[in-house]
Amino acid sequence: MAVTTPSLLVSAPPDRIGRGFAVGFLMLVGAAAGLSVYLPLSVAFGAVFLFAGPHNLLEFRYVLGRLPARAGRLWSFFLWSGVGIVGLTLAYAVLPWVVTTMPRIGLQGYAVWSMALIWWVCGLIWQRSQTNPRFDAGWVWAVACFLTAGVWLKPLALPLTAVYLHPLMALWLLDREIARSRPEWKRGYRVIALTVPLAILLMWSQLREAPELPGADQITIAFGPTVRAETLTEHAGAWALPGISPYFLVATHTFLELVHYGIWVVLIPAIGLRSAPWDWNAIPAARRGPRWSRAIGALLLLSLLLVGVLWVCFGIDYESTRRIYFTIAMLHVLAEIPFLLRMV
Amino acid sequence: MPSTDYWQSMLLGYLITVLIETSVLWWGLSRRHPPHVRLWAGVWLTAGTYPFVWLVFPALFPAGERGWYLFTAETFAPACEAWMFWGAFVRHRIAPEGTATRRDMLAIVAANLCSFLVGTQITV
Repeated sequence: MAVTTPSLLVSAPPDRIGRGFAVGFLMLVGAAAGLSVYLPLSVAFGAVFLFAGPHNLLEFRYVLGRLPARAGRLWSFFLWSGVGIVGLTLAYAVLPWVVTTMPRIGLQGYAVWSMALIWWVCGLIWQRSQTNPRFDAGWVWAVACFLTAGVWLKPLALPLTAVYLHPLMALWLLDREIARSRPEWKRGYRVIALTVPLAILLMWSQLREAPELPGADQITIAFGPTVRAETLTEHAGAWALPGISPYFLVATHTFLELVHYGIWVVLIPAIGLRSAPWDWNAIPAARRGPRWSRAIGALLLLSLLLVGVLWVCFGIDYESTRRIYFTIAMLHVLAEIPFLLRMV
Repeated sequence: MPSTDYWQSMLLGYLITVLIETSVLWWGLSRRHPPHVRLWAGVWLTAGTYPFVWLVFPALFPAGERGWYLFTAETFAPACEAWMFWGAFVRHRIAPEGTATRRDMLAIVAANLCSFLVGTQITV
Protein backbone atom coordinates (compact mmCIF):
# COMPACT_ATOMS: atom_id res chain seq x y z
CA MET A 1 0.00 0.00 0.00
CA ALA A 2 1.36 3.40 -0.95
CA VAL A 3 1.99 5.95 1.75
CA THR A 4 0.39 9.27 0.93
CA THR A 5 2.44 12.40 1.47
CA PRO A 6 0.36 15.24 2.87
CA SER A 7 1.10 18.58 1.30
CA LEU A 8 2.54 21.52 3.25
CA LEU A 9 -0.75 23.35 3.42
CA VAL A 10 -2.59 20.29 4.61
CA SER A 11 -0.17 19.66 7.45
CA ALA A 12 -0.25 23.26 8.74
CA PRO A 13 -2.54 24.35 11.62
CA PRO A 14 -6.14 25.03 10.51
CA ASP A 15 -6.17 28.83 11.01
CA ARG A 16 -2.92 29.29 9.10
CA ILE A 17 -4.20 27.10 6.26
CA GLY A 18 -7.11 29.39 5.60
CA ARG A 19 -5.05 32.55 5.90
CA GLY A 20 -2.23 31.18 3.73
CA PHE A 21 -4.66 30.03 1.09
CA ALA A 22 -6.51 33.35 1.07
CA VAL A 23 -3.28 35.34 0.82
CA GLY A 24 -2.05 33.05 -1.95
CA PHE A 25 -5.28 33.42 -3.90
CA LEU A 26 -5.38 37.20 -3.54
CA MET A 27 -1.72 37.47 -4.56
CA LEU A 28 -2.44 35.33 -7.59
CA VAL A 29 -5.40 37.50 -8.66
CA GLY A 30 -3.56 40.76 -7.94
CA ALA A 31 -0.36 39.74 -9.73
CA ALA A 32 -2.27 38.29 -12.68
CA ALA A 33 -4.33 41.48 -13.08
CA GLY A 34 -1.31 43.78 -12.76
CA LEU A 35 0.83 41.82 -15.20
CA SER A 36 -2.03 41.46 -17.69
CA VAL A 37 -2.69 45.21 -17.70
CA TYR A 38 0.90 46.39 -17.95
CA LEU A 39 2.59 43.57 -19.90
CA PRO A 40 -0.23 41.81 -21.74
CA LEU A 41 1.80 40.49 -24.68
CA SER A 42 4.86 39.34 -22.75
CA VAL A 43 2.77 37.67 -20.09
CA ALA A 44 0.40 36.03 -22.56
CA PHE A 45 3.29 34.57 -24.55
CA GLY A 46 5.32 33.66 -21.48
CA ALA A 47 2.46 32.13 -19.50
CA VAL A 48 1.42 29.79 -22.30
CA PHE A 49 5.06 28.85 -22.92
CA LEU A 50 5.74 28.07 -19.26
CA PHE A 51 2.47 26.70 -17.91
CA ALA A 52 0.44 25.22 -20.77
CA GLY A 53 2.14 21.84 -20.44
CA PRO A 54 2.66 21.64 -16.66
CA HIS A 55 -0.92 22.71 -15.85
CA ASN A 56 -2.25 19.97 -18.10
CA LEU A 57 0.04 17.44 -16.43
CA LEU A 58 -1.04 18.49 -12.93
CA GLU A 59 -4.69 18.57 -13.98
CA PHE A 60 -4.37 15.07 -15.43
CA ARG A 61 -2.70 13.85 -12.23
CA TYR A 62 -5.41 15.42 -10.09
CA VAL A 63 -8.21 13.91 -12.18
CA LEU A 64 -6.59 10.47 -12.06
CA GLY A 65 -6.42 10.76 -8.27
CA ARG A 66 -10.12 11.57 -8.10
CA LEU A 67 -11.44 8.98 -10.53
CA PRO A 68 -12.73 5.74 -9.02
CA ALA A 69 -10.70 2.57 -9.60
CA ARG A 70 -13.66 0.94 -11.32
CA ALA A 71 -16.42 2.57 -13.33
CA GLY A 72 -19.07 0.32 -11.78
CA ARG A 73 -22.56 1.77 -12.23
CA LEU A 74 -21.07 4.94 -13.71
CA TRP A 75 -19.84 3.19 -16.87
CA SER A 76 -22.52 4.78 -19.08
CA PHE A 77 -21.57 8.23 -17.75
CA PHE A 78 -17.88 7.57 -18.46
CA LEU A 79 -18.67 6.14 -21.90
CA TRP A 80 -20.80 9.19 -22.83
CA SER A 81 -18.05 11.45 -21.48
CA GLY A 82 -15.30 9.69 -23.43
CA VAL A 83 -17.22 9.60 -26.71
CA GLY A 84 -18.03 13.30 -26.39
CA ILE A 85 -14.53 14.39 -25.37
CA VAL A 86 -12.80 12.55 -28.23
CA GLY A 87 -15.50 13.15 -30.85
CA LEU A 88 -15.93 16.85 -30.16
CA THR A 89 -12.16 17.43 -30.00
CA LEU A 90 -11.59 15.71 -33.35
CA ALA A 91 -14.51 17.60 -34.89
CA TYR A 92 -13.17 20.90 -33.52
CA ALA A 93 -9.74 20.15 -35.01
CA VAL A 94 -11.12 19.52 -38.52
CA LEU A 95 -13.71 22.33 -38.47
CA PRO A 96 -11.45 25.08 -39.87
CA TRP A 97 -10.58 22.78 -42.78
CA VAL A 98 -14.24 21.87 -43.35
CA VAL A 99 -15.35 25.51 -43.25
CA THR A 100 -12.70 26.62 -45.75
CA THR A 101 -12.90 23.70 -48.19
CA MET A 102 -16.69 23.26 -48.14
CA PRO A 103 -18.22 26.72 -48.57
CA ARG A 104 -21.73 25.21 -48.68
CA ILE A 105 -21.36 24.24 -45.02
CA GLY A 106 -19.62 27.45 -43.99
CA LEU A 107 -20.15 28.67 -40.46
CA GLN A 108 -23.02 26.22 -40.02
CA GLY A 109 -20.26 23.70 -39.27
CA TYR A 110 -19.60 25.61 -36.04
CA ALA A 111 -23.33 25.67 -35.30
CA VAL A 112 -23.50 21.88 -35.65
CA TRP A 113 -20.44 21.50 -33.42
CA SER A 114 -21.88 23.86 -30.80
CA MET A 115 -25.20 22.03 -30.93
CA ALA A 116 -23.43 18.70 -30.37
CA LEU A 117 -21.55 20.22 -27.44
CA ILE A 118 -24.76 21.55 -25.85
CA TRP A 119 -26.61 18.23 -26.16
CA TRP A 120 -23.57 16.32 -24.94
CA VAL A 121 -23.32 18.49 -21.83
CA CYS A 122 -27.08 18.26 -21.23
CA GLY A 123 -26.85 14.47 -21.60
CA LEU A 124 -24.11 14.46 -18.97
CA ILE A 125 -26.18 16.60 -16.61
CA TRP A 126 -29.17 14.31 -17.14
CA GLN A 127 -27.11 11.18 -16.40
CA ARG A 128 -25.41 12.83 -13.45
CA SER A 129 -28.79 13.75 -11.94
CA GLN A 130 -29.69 10.06 -11.76
CA THR A 131 -26.79 9.13 -9.49
CA ASN A 132 -26.15 10.16 -5.90
CA PRO A 133 -26.36 12.89 -4.79
CA ARG A 134 -29.42 13.16 -7.04
CA PHE A 135 -30.93 16.43 -8.20
CA ASP A 136 -33.80 17.53 -10.40
CA ALA A 137 -32.58 17.98 -13.99
CA GLY A 138 -35.99 18.23 -15.64
CA TRP A 139 -35.11 21.70 -16.93
CA VAL A 140 -32.08 20.55 -18.92
CA TRP A 141 -33.74 19.67 -22.27
CA ALA A 142 -35.62 22.96 -22.49
CA VAL A 143 -32.32 24.76 -21.93
CA ALA A 144 -30.69 22.56 -24.60
CA CYS A 145 -33.38 23.50 -27.15
CA PHE A 146 -33.14 27.17 -26.29
CA LEU A 147 -29.34 27.31 -26.47
CA THR A 148 -29.34 25.33 -29.72
CA ALA A 149 -31.48 28.03 -31.31
CA GLY A 150 -28.96 30.58 -30.03
CA VAL A 151 -25.92 28.86 -31.55
CA TRP A 152 -27.67 28.66 -34.94
CA LEU A 153 -28.13 32.41 -34.78
CA LYS A 154 -24.49 33.01 -33.81
CA PRO A 155 -22.45 29.93 -34.77
CA LEU A 156 -19.16 31.26 -33.41
CA ALA A 157 -20.56 32.49 -30.10
CA LEU A 158 -20.02 29.28 -28.14
CA PRO A 159 -16.39 28.60 -29.20
CA LEU A 160 -15.61 32.24 -28.39
CA THR A 161 -17.42 32.08 -25.04
CA ALA A 162 -15.43 28.94 -24.20
CA VAL A 163 -12.20 30.94 -24.57
CA TYR A 164 -13.27 33.09 -21.62
CA LEU A 165 -15.35 30.60 -19.65
CA HIS A 166 -12.83 27.79 -19.61
CA PRO A 167 -10.34 29.62 -17.36
CA LEU A 168 -13.22 30.32 -14.97
CA MET A 169 -13.99 26.61 -14.71
CA ALA A 170 -10.84 26.25 -12.62
CA LEU A 171 -12.42 28.57 -10.04
CA TRP A 172 -15.49 26.35 -9.94
CA LEU A 173 -13.38 23.20 -9.64
CA LEU A 174 -11.43 24.80 -6.83
CA ASP A 175 -14.73 25.61 -5.13
CA ARG A 176 -15.79 21.95 -5.41
CA GLU A 177 -12.42 20.76 -4.13
CA ILE A 178 -12.67 23.10 -1.14
CA ALA A 179 -16.23 21.96 -0.45
CA ARG A 180 -14.97 18.40 -0.38
CA SER A 181 -11.65 18.64 1.41
CA ARG A 182 -11.86 21.95 3.35
CA PRO A 183 -15.58 22.75 3.81
CA GLU A 184 -14.79 25.30 6.53
CA TRP A 185 -13.06 27.47 3.87
CA LYS A 186 -15.98 27.45 1.45
CA ARG A 187 -17.62 30.70 2.50
CA GLY A 188 -14.31 32.56 2.72
CA TYR A 189 -13.24 31.26 -0.68
CA ARG A 190 -16.46 32.44 -2.32
CA VAL A 191 -15.91 35.91 -0.89
CA ILE A 192 -12.32 36.20 -2.13
CA ALA A 193 -13.30 34.68 -5.51
CA LEU A 194 -15.31 37.86 -6.08
CA THR A 195 -11.97 39.61 -6.58
CA VAL A 196 -11.85 38.00 -10.05
CA PRO A 197 -14.89 39.87 -11.47
CA LEU A 198 -13.79 42.92 -9.49
CA ALA A 199 -10.38 42.78 -11.18
CA ILE A 200 -12.05 42.49 -14.60
CA LEU A 201 -14.15 45.56 -13.81
CA LEU A 202 -11.02 47.47 -12.81
CA MET A 203 -9.31 46.34 -16.01
CA TRP A 204 -12.34 47.54 -17.97
CA SER A 205 -12.16 50.93 -16.30
CA GLN A 206 -8.45 51.19 -17.17
CA LEU A 207 -8.42 49.72 -20.65
CA ARG A 208 -11.82 50.30 -22.23
CA GLU A 209 -10.43 53.04 -24.42
CA ALA A 210 -6.88 51.76 -24.59
CA PRO A 211 -5.10 52.00 -27.96
CA GLU A 212 -4.21 49.03 -30.14
CA LEU A 213 -1.71 46.60 -28.71
CA PRO A 214 1.88 47.20 -29.74
CA GLY A 215 3.08 44.84 -32.44
CA ALA A 216 6.24 43.79 -30.66
CA ASP A 217 7.85 43.88 -27.24
CA GLN A 218 10.75 42.13 -25.54
CA ILE A 219 9.28 38.66 -25.65
CA THR A 220 8.00 39.15 -29.19
CA ILE A 221 11.46 40.24 -30.27
CA ALA A 222 13.08 37.34 -28.38
CA PHE A 223 10.96 34.83 -30.29
CA GLY A 224 11.71 36.55 -33.56
CA PRO A 225 9.43 36.28 -36.57
CA THR A 226 7.46 33.30 -35.20
CA VAL A 227 5.37 35.45 -32.86
CA ARG A 228 2.62 37.88 -33.89
CA ALA A 229 0.60 40.09 -31.55
CA GLU A 230 -2.37 39.55 -33.88
CA THR A 231 -2.41 35.91 -32.79
CA LEU A 232 -3.43 37.03 -29.32
CA THR A 233 -6.04 39.52 -30.42
CA GLU A 234 -7.54 36.90 -32.75
CA HIS A 235 -7.60 34.33 -29.96
CA ALA A 236 -9.22 36.83 -27.58
CA GLY A 237 -12.03 37.31 -30.13
CA ALA A 238 -11.30 40.89 -31.17
CA TRP A 239 -12.60 40.07 -34.68
CA ALA A 240 -16.03 39.25 -33.22
CA LEU A 241 -16.21 42.13 -30.72
CA PRO A 242 -15.28 45.19 -32.76
CA GLY A 243 -16.67 47.68 -30.26
CA ILE A 244 -14.35 46.54 -27.46
CA SER A 245 -10.72 47.53 -27.09
CA PRO A 246 -8.46 44.66 -28.26
CA TYR A 247 -6.08 45.66 -25.47
CA PHE A 248 -8.81 45.00 -22.90
CA LEU A 249 -9.74 41.67 -24.52
CA VAL A 250 -6.16 40.41 -24.59
CA ALA A 251 -5.50 41.62 -21.04
CA THR A 252 -8.70 39.98 -19.75
CA HIS A 253 -7.95 36.71 -21.47
CA THR A 254 -4.37 36.78 -20.21
CA PHE A 255 -5.60 37.54 -16.69
CA LEU A 256 -8.07 34.64 -16.75
CA GLU A 257 -5.44 32.29 -18.18
CA LEU A 258 -2.98 33.27 -15.45
CA VAL A 259 -5.58 32.67 -12.72
CA HIS A 260 -6.42 29.35 -14.38
CA TYR A 261 -2.76 28.29 -14.47
CA GLY A 262 -2.20 29.48 -10.91
CA ILE A 263 -5.12 27.45 -9.64
CA TRP A 264 -4.02 24.28 -11.41
CA VAL A 265 -0.29 24.59 -10.77
CA VAL A 266 -0.35 25.93 -7.21
CA LEU A 267 -3.67 26.05 -5.39
CA ILE A 268 -5.35 22.77 -6.32
CA PRO A 269 -2.17 20.69 -5.84
CA ALA A 270 -1.69 22.45 -2.49
CA ILE A 271 -5.07 21.45 -1.12
CA GLY A 272 -6.41 18.76 -3.43
CA LEU A 273 -3.62 16.27 -3.99
CA ARG A 274 -3.68 13.58 -1.34
CA SER A 275 -0.19 12.39 -2.27
CA ALA A 276 2.91 13.67 -4.01
CA PRO A 277 2.28 14.14 -7.77
CA TRP A 278 4.94 11.55 -8.64
CA ASP A 279 3.48 8.93 -6.27
CA TRP A 280 1.22 7.26 -8.84
CA ASN A 281 0.58 4.27 -6.60
CA ALA A 282 -1.73 6.51 -4.59
CA ILE A 283 -4.02 6.76 -7.65
CA PRO A 284 -7.07 4.49 -7.14
CA ALA A 285 -6.80 2.86 -10.59
CA ALA A 286 -3.11 2.03 -9.97
CA ARG A 287 -4.12 0.01 -6.92
CA ARG A 288 -6.08 -2.46 -9.03
CA GLY A 289 -2.93 -4.47 -9.67
CA PRO A 290 0.68 -4.38 -10.92
CA ARG A 291 -0.35 -4.02 -14.58
CA TRP A 292 -2.60 -1.09 -13.81
CA SER A 293 0.11 0.49 -11.69
CA ARG A 294 2.65 0.18 -14.52
CA ALA A 295 0.13 1.51 -17.05
CA ILE A 296 -0.69 4.54 -14.92
CA GLY A 297 3.02 5.17 -14.31
CA ALA A 298 3.74 4.93 -18.04
CA LEU A 299 0.86 7.29 -18.79
CA LEU A 300 2.17 9.89 -16.36
CA LEU A 301 5.72 9.54 -17.71
CA LEU A 302 4.39 9.99 -21.24
CA SER A 303 2.54 13.11 -20.09
CA LEU A 304 5.75 14.44 -18.55
CA LEU A 305 7.55 13.76 -21.82
CA LEU A 306 4.84 15.66 -23.70
CA VAL A 307 5.40 18.67 -21.46
CA GLY A 308 9.08 18.63 -22.50
CA VAL A 309 8.17 18.17 -26.18
CA LEU A 310 5.74 21.10 -25.94
CA TRP A 311 8.49 23.35 -24.52
CA VAL A 312 10.87 22.35 -27.32
CA CYS A 313 8.18 22.96 -29.97
CA PHE A 314 7.31 26.35 -28.46
CA GLY A 315 11.01 27.21 -28.65
CA ILE A 316 11.24 26.18 -32.30
CA ASP A 317 7.98 27.68 -33.63
CA TYR A 318 5.90 29.40 -30.99
CA GLU A 319 3.03 30.50 -33.20
CA SER A 320 2.34 27.16 -34.90
CA THR A 321 2.74 25.27 -31.63
CA ARG A 322 0.38 27.67 -29.90
CA ARG A 323 -2.24 27.18 -32.60
CA ILE A 324 -1.94 23.39 -32.46
CA TYR A 325 -1.89 23.43 -28.66
CA PHE A 326 -5.09 25.45 -28.35
CA THR A 327 -6.82 23.12 -30.82
CA ILE A 328 -5.79 19.99 -28.94
CA ALA A 329 -6.40 21.76 -25.60
CA MET A 330 -10.11 21.45 -26.39
CA LEU A 331 -9.66 17.90 -25.10
CA HIS A 332 -8.91 19.07 -21.56
CA VAL A 333 -11.54 21.82 -21.74
CA LEU A 334 -14.17 19.18 -22.52
CA ALA A 335 -12.76 16.67 -20.04
CA GLU A 336 -13.26 19.15 -17.22
CA ILE A 337 -17.03 19.21 -17.81
CA PRO A 338 -17.89 15.61 -16.80
CA PHE A 339 -15.29 15.79 -14.07
CA LEU A 340 -16.85 18.93 -12.66
CA LEU A 341 -20.30 17.35 -12.85
CA ARG A 342 -19.09 14.38 -10.83
CA MET A 343 -17.91 16.82 -8.17
CA VAL A 344 -21.27 18.64 -7.94
CA MET B 1 -29.31 37.11 -38.75
CA PRO B 2 -33.10 37.10 -39.30
CA SER B 3 -34.82 40.35 -40.21
CA THR B 4 -36.89 42.45 -37.79
CA ASP B 5 -40.06 41.23 -39.53
CA TYR B 6 -39.03 37.66 -38.90
CA TRP B 7 -38.49 38.35 -35.18
CA GLN B 8 -41.87 40.08 -34.94
CA SER B 9 -43.60 37.17 -36.69
CA MET B 10 -41.81 34.77 -34.39
CA LEU B 11 -42.91 36.62 -31.26
CA LEU B 12 -46.51 36.85 -32.46
CA GLY B 13 -46.46 33.18 -33.44
CA TYR B 14 -45.08 32.27 -30.04
CA LEU B 15 -47.86 34.12 -28.21
CA ILE B 16 -50.56 32.52 -30.37
CA THR B 17 -48.98 29.07 -29.90
CA VAL B 18 -48.84 29.55 -26.13
CA LEU B 19 -52.48 30.61 -26.10
CA ILE B 20 -53.60 27.55 -28.07
CA GLU B 21 -51.36 25.00 -26.39
CA THR B 22 -52.06 26.24 -22.86
CA SER B 23 -55.80 25.95 -23.52
CA VAL B 24 -55.44 22.37 -24.75
CA LEU B 25 -53.04 21.39 -21.97
CA TRP B 26 -55.27 22.94 -19.31
CA TRP B 27 -58.05 20.53 -20.25
CA GLY B 28 -55.94 17.68 -21.54
CA LEU B 29 -53.29 17.10 -18.90
CA SER B 30 -54.19 14.63 -16.17
CA ARG B 31 -55.71 16.04 -12.99
CA ARG B 32 -52.74 14.90 -10.91
CA HIS B 33 -50.93 18.06 -12.10
CA PRO B 34 -51.89 21.18 -10.13
CA PRO B 35 -53.32 24.17 -12.06
CA HIS B 36 -50.06 26.15 -11.99
CA VAL B 37 -48.20 23.25 -13.67
CA ARG B 38 -50.84 22.98 -16.39
CA LEU B 39 -50.63 26.71 -17.05
CA TRP B 40 -46.85 26.86 -16.88
CA ALA B 41 -46.47 23.84 -19.19
CA GLY B 42 -48.00 25.76 -22.08
CA VAL B 43 -45.56 28.64 -21.75
CA TRP B 44 -42.48 26.65 -20.88
CA LEU B 45 -42.71 23.75 -23.35
CA THR B 46 -43.31 26.13 -26.24
CA ALA B 47 -40.44 28.35 -25.07
CA GLY B 48 -38.13 25.34 -25.41
CA THR B 49 -39.11 24.10 -28.85
CA TYR B 50 -40.39 27.23 -30.61
CA PRO B 51 -37.01 28.95 -31.17
CA PHE B 52 -35.63 25.61 -32.37
CA VAL B 53 -38.41 25.22 -34.95
CA TRP B 54 -38.10 28.84 -36.13
CA LEU B 55 -34.33 29.26 -36.11
CA VAL B 56 -32.70 25.84 -36.53
CA PHE B 57 -34.90 23.90 -38.94
CA PRO B 58 -35.19 26.68 -41.57
CA ALA B 59 -31.38 26.66 -41.77
CA LEU B 60 -31.35 22.90 -42.30
CA PHE B 61 -34.07 22.75 -44.97
CA PRO B 62 -33.80 24.88 -48.12
CA ALA B 63 -36.86 26.89 -49.16
CA GLY B 64 -37.96 24.24 -51.66
CA GLU B 65 -38.24 21.55 -48.99
CA ARG B 66 -41.10 23.03 -46.99
CA GLY B 67 -42.86 19.66 -46.75
CA TRP B 68 -39.86 18.02 -45.12
CA TYR B 69 -39.40 21.06 -42.90
CA LEU B 70 -42.99 20.86 -41.63
CA PHE B 71 -42.82 17.09 -41.17
CA THR B 72 -39.55 17.27 -39.20
CA ALA B 73 -40.52 20.30 -37.13
CA GLU B 74 -44.00 19.03 -36.30
CA THR B 75 -42.62 15.62 -35.32
CA PHE B 76 -39.78 17.08 -33.31
CA ALA B 77 -41.89 19.58 -31.35
CA PRO B 78 -44.42 17.17 -29.74
CA ALA B 79 -41.77 14.47 -29.17
CA CYS B 80 -39.39 16.91 -27.53
CA GLU B 81 -42.14 18.57 -25.48
CA ALA B 82 -43.39 15.19 -24.27
CA TRP B 83 -39.85 14.29 -23.20
CA MET B 84 -39.35 17.68 -21.53
CA PHE B 85 -42.67 17.43 -19.69
CA TRP B 86 -41.95 13.91 -18.49
CA GLY B 87 -38.47 14.94 -17.28
CA ALA B 88 -39.69 18.06 -15.51
CA PHE B 89 -43.10 17.18 -14.09
CA VAL B 90 -43.51 13.40 -14.02
CA ARG B 91 -40.20 11.66 -13.33
CA HIS B 92 -39.34 11.63 -9.60
CA ARG B 93 -42.13 14.09 -8.86
CA ILE B 94 -45.33 12.10 -8.79
CA ALA B 95 -46.19 8.45 -8.32
CA PRO B 96 -45.87 6.46 -11.58
CA GLU B 97 -49.29 6.02 -13.16
CA GLY B 98 -49.28 4.66 -16.73
CA THR B 99 -52.75 5.79 -17.80
CA ALA B 100 -52.30 9.36 -16.55
CA THR B 101 -48.85 9.62 -18.16
CA ARG B 102 -50.26 8.42 -21.51
CA ARG B 103 -53.01 11.05 -21.18
CA ASP B 104 -50.34 13.72 -20.58
CA MET B 105 -48.41 12.68 -23.66
CA LEU B 106 -51.55 12.60 -25.82
CA ALA B 107 -52.49 16.06 -24.53
CA ILE B 108 -49.11 17.40 -25.61
CA VAL B 109 -49.45 15.84 -29.08
CA ALA B 110 -52.99 17.25 -29.36
CA ALA B 111 -51.81 20.71 -28.27
CA ASN B 112 -49.13 20.71 -30.96
CA LEU B 113 -51.56 19.45 -33.58
CA CYS B 114 -54.02 22.23 -32.74
CA SER B 115 -51.37 24.94 -32.88
CA PHE B 116 -50.09 23.52 -36.20
CA LEU B 117 -53.58 23.51 -37.73
CA VAL B 118 -54.32 27.04 -36.55
CA GLY B 119 -50.86 28.10 -37.75
CA THR B 120 -51.47 26.75 -41.26
CA GLN B 121 -54.81 28.59 -41.42
CA ILE B 122 -53.20 31.86 -40.37
CA THR B 123 -50.35 31.40 -42.88
CA VAL B 124 -52.78 30.53 -45.70
